[in-house]
Amino acid sequence: MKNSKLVTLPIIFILVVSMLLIGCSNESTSSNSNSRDKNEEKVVLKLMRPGTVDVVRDIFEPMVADFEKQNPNIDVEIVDLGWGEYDQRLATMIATKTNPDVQLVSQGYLFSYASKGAYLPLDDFIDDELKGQITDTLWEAGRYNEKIYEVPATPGADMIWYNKELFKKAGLDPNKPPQTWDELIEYAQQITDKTGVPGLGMAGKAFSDIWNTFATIYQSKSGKPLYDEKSQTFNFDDSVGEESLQLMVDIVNDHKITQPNITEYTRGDLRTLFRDGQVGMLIDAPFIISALKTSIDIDSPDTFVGTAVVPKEENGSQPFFGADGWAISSNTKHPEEAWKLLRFLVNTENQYTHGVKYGFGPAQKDVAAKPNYQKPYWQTAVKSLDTGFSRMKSENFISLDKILVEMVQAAITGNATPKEAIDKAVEANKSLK
Amino acid sequence: VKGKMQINEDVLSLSINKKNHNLKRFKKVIQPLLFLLPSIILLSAVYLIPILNVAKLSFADATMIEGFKQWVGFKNFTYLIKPEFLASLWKTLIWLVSTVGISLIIGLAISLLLNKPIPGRPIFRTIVILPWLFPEALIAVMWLWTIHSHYGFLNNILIKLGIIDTGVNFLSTSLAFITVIVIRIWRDIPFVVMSLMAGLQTIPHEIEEAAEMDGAVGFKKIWYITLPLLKPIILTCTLILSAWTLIIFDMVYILTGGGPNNATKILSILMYDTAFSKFDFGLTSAMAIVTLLMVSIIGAFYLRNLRNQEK
Repeated sequence: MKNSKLVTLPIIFILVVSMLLIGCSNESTSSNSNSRDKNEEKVVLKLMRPGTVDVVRDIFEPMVADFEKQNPNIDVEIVDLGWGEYDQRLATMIATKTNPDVQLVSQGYLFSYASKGAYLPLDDFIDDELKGQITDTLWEAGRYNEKIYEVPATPGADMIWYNKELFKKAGLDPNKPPQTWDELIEYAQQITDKTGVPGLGMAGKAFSDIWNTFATIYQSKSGKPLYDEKSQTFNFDDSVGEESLQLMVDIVNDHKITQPNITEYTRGDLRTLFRDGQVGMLIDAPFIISALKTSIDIDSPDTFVGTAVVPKEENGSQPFFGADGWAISSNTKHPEEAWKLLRFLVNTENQYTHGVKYGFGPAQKDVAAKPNYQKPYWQTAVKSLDTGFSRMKSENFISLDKILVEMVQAAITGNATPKEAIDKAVEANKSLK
Repeated sequence: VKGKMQINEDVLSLSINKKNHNLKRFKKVIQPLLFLLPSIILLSAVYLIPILNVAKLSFADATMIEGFKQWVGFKNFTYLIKPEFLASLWKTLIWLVSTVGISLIIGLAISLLLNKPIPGRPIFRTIVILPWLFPEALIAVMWLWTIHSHYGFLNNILIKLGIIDTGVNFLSTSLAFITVIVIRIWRDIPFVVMSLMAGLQTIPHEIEEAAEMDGAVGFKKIWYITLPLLKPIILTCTLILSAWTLIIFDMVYILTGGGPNNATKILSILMYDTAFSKFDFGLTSAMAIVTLLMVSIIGAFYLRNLRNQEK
């Protein structure tokens, strides 16, 4: 009797566990089907705008409420995601086909993933009004393999940010920013020598920022973008490329006009130094504005903040720019509704609110005409966008990003000569094919 | 008739014996398996299936987005003899030996000290285990602030004490690896202290008193009495720490991103880059298999040590 109990007990246990599991799974299926029935007439869309969660929600919750009011058959859920975990989470979302319907995509990642079919081409959705609102340069930034995958929304080109007070102390004219790269070095040297404050902030930490500066120098010197989309090769594999990288090396090591220990700094860290008057000049995009506004009034007529387009060479000022934009996931079951939401988010008012609260340049002509964008620094930002080249268009963008970071870091830390660093990057790009 | 009855009884008794034998066999072999079955199913689902999947992908051309594409044989493993991987593997071994070794030595010294009846001992014990309470990511950010050459607390103190003139870049190409090792040691010490202090409590006072009577005091007592008695715990600590250290990722990634100039690119960072920058899951899986083998060897030593302790 006792023995038979011992035999039957484990069997009963397994049966009970199995039944419980089956029960649970049935329950969840039925609850799913119930909720499906309830929401049959409602479309639920997921919206993702990576960034600081509080700021994102502050901007988008009211917009979503308005959208839902205008479209009672559509519910919108906001998905929170910080930039810090963006690359991992996005890759996982795409791999598991849980990519939100409508999302702001980092431009470089867009090309990597669009090439794998993760995003819908938007050409058939884009109306003439929207087409006319956005400049060709910006549309080009979101075009890949002849198709448009994003509606550009957060453009920002490199420009010069300089401290007028330090200019005055160094005996420079605060209304005459540097016009050439040589002048930029000369001014930075003067600020360093006369005020003791480093004349130019330079990022050297292993982040994308460091090759953005190289791109800006190279593009202005060569008049070419960093990367050739058709041949999928680096354009800087030439004497101008070497000269541009050498210029960065000289700025850091020979002229000694940057803050010390550059490998500790990203552009984000430098923004704080500039805000606190601890560097004379920076090359940075308008994303710096929100960092400056935390403790100084840059809109005051007495502000120490001055701006200028990046130095010109023979080909003019051709800065690097990024333009993340709104895209629609190819997993969406409701492309029409997703476009409706996307279109709503980029109408003039919403685009303006998004831009002003988050701190990026105007992507649309009507938005650029709004009062906020008439301020001097925004005017420089708009001008910079007109002549810039955007990020590399390649399905290998994320790998290229790493290759360029390693190239610039190796050169500026003296681990390789500019020629060696460029050769290594070119070889690494070849191995990606 | 009597003979027939006898035969029947014998058959019956044989049959009962056989039944008992079967039942005993069932109780001994099958019943434990039945009890273990739910755990086996659960563990298989949670551990075995992903491991088998990684093993499969290591022989395949696979990307994060497209998944398995085709079999490529040992092609992914050929990368494992390339300088980039070997450099990373070498760095990982240095990282492993130095962090675990130094953590154990310092942890042992602190636990011996805190085992003495010194005033304020509970406070010291609490302070020592503090680093263990913070998440890795928070620790990395906290240290970034602490060691920064411009606004870091550590550099400012060193400058004020006149030890240095200008801030030191602890994350430069030449110092970054040493810095991450030191921070890792700082993080591991509390685990060693907690484990060894628990072990020290189990050493009977009589043994220590007897040793003292025989003239074993100070370092001699530690060397001949305390350390041999702590040996199983030290070994367990070493093995657990080694396995953990091999798979550390977030702390190093936040501190340096594997740089500058790949100075801190340990295996976990290389694997992350391969998976999330190149999307090459085949190659990442091949590297993961190597790491798994290393951790498994450590695990095998750990299990053997546990068995020896039980004996």
